[in-house]
Amino acid sequence: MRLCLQYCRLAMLRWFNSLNQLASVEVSTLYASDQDRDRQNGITLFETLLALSVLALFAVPLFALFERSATALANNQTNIQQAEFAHALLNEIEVTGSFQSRTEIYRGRYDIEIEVTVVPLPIENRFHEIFELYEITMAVDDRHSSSPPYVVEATLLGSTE
Amino acid sequence: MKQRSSSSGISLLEVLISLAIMSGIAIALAAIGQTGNRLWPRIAVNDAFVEAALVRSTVRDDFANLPLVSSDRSLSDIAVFEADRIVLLEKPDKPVSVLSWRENALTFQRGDGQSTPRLLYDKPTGLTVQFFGQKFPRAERQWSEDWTSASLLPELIKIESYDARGEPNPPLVLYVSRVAIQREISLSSLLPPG
Repeated sequence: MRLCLQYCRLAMLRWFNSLNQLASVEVSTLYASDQDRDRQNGITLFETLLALSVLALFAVPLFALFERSATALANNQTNIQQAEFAHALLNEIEVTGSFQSRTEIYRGRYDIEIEVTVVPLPIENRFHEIFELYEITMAVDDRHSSSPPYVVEATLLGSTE
Repeated sequence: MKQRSSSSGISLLEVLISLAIMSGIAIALAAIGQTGNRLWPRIAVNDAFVEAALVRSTVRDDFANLPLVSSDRSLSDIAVFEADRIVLLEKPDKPVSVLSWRENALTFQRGDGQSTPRLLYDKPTGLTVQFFGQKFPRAERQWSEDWTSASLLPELIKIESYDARGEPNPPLVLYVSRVAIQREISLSSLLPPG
């Protein structure tokens, strides 16, 4: 590292000497050794670059954090929409009585999987001949989002088929 | 070697290096600005989205809490169904809330129309409203696009729409009188609720 810095310094001096001949710019500080430099005068280029590098090291993860928060925001919206859709479908199934297992796509955006298991009411229940319990597992997945599908399990009461 | 005094100014090399550093900082600031610029609309949209989701939840609750049509309470005492709006009533001529729609707007308003209408979706398009149930006693339960001439409450109201980008919104399904129906089922069951 030190060798590399010395090499850079030498290259810069050579280049600056040629510039100096053309522009007559004062370059004496470049020849001053570290011992000559009074630390009260300010900070060196090396210190500045080091500080910037450290700052960059912290800034890069911060940028990643921004991106992650934006993704989380989008995923939250998707989760709310998927949950709303699932509960709307459960209401529709309960009222219309369409207790069939099926897979469908809603308007090209949502994949819906509905699995229905029929559980008869206990024989001692006086409604066991006209009603049944339907155990429903439903998954709603937004095709346009990377967030996982919303899965809901519910038991609904419906008339016998 | 001539020693440079501290008051003699800055060298060309120092100027170039400081320019390079400033350029680096400017590029970083521009990147921060660009990220903020990209994130801000998403945050603004999210605020509108959450607000609309809360309004949808309120609408679902209002419809779920409607009483059932009975011998001492007709449909006109509970709600008025018009071509482009539904008025929920506390008493005849005393509206509790109004749900109204056009092709590209769905709003909900509490009270007698003095409050500000609240949006259920942010800039919806292609809005359709369907009703499910019996329009009249002994009529067949079916889907219908019009409920203005009915004498019974619909069991379900389904509102479908697309968002401003043309993507479908999840349907908004209102389960009408859900609380009263579940209370009736509980009371008629062999065992008490719970």
